[in-house]
Amino acid sequence: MKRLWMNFAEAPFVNRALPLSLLALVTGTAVLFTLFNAVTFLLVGSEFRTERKTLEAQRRRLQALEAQEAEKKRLLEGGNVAVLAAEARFLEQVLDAKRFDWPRLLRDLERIKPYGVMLESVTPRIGKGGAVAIQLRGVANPRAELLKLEENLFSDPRFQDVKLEGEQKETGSPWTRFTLTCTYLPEAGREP
Amino acid sequence: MRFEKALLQELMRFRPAMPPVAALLEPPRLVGLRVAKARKDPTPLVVHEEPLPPGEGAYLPSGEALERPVASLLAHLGQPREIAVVAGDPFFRVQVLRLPEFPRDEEERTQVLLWQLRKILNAPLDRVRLRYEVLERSAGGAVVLAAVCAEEEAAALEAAFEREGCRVGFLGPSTFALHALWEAGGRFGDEPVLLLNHPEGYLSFLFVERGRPVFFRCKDLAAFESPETDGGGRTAQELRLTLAYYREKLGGPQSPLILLRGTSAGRAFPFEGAVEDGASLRTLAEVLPPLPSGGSRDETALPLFGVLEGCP
Repeated sequence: MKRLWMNFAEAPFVNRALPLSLLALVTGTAVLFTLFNAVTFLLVGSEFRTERKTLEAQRRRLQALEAQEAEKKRLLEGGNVAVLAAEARFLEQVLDAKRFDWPRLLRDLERIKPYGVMLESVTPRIGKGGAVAIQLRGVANPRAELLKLEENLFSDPRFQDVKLEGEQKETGSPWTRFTLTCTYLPEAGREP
Repeated sequence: MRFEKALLQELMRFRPAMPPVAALLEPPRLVGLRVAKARKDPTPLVVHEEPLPPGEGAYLPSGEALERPVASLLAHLGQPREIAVVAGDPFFRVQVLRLPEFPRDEEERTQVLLWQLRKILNAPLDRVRLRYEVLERSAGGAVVLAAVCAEEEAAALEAAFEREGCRVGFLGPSTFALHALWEAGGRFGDEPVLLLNHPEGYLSFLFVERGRPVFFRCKDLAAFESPETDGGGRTAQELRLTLAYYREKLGGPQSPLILLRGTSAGRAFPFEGAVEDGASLRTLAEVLPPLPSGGSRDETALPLFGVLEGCP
């Protein structure tokens, strides 16, 4: 049961222990944290400063790299992509053409060419996957030699899609001029 | 301001710090008491009395008539910086109110209590200090002990102590200090008790049932002849009337235990004739346990022991 206590004082006595304890607790906590901060600063302050400098340097480097990246990106975005692509394609073709093994083609042609056929031009065109479209121009005498050439090409697996594009008998001459296309597969039918 | 008030209210719920010094203002005397330690060791170290003239138109004197004895008393008590002050009951107006409705809002409560007190006391209560304690709650209503004192007089009293560098942190009525003293030892049982406070100048009745006040009445005897000249007839009649009122109006028992506080041992004791057969009338000084030093409490300073021993 609560005790009866009527106090008419303007500023009554109050419990001082409670607020003083709270004040002491708050002050004590603040002092403890301050001490902890001071000790921490003394113990790891120099390490912290070093790390902060490293961090600052890395931050600056990152900024420089980002600036470089932005510059390069700007250059890339500013250039003509279509021209670059065409140049790349052209370069690729040149490289493929440079890589083409002419001696092998000539050896293969020599093997299938009949005696009465003379080749005037051999025009290879490098395709995808290593297939080479070849146009052969030449003259044959007699015409049966042209047919023999065609037959040899058909029978050789390295030559595909053989088409006789055209032939013309030269007037006043035994020679027949011809144009022939085929696809040359250098690796087909060879021993591994 | 509201925050400070709320904080103060919260702090008031805890046990207050109490200085070991108290003063009792009961004209014609001002009594001071310093004990060894409030609550724990009530051994009196200093008991000092100063003459205190009655006030003109008020219970306590004002101005120089109050300040001079206060200064002298404080000097004898060792110039304390804080003090608890007990004033005679006529300084306050106390009532036990039975309210069928008791609002929750503090402002409304104040208005209701002041209105009830105005009605009962038939006096203007414009600038007063109001304090109340809820004694019992019922459905919607409450039994409330409400008390007021004049703001101006209370402020003047505090200022008189403040002038000497002493803060008044407790100000309360004498009879309720006796109640605190009796309650401190858990002495209130089921038996109804009448605390009869009869120093020079007034007569107070506080009926207590199971530790809770049920009726309070204070009679200022300044207007009557002194008990020495009229043989105590007037005060005895007041006791008879009050006991009859308690029995008939409040349904109190035939014979409560009467605990009396007088002022001096040699004074005439006018109540024995008024007490009916079977009723027990004893003085507080003789029923209280002795002090740690073995002595008994000075009856004049008994309310001061009540404050210093009986504070919650």
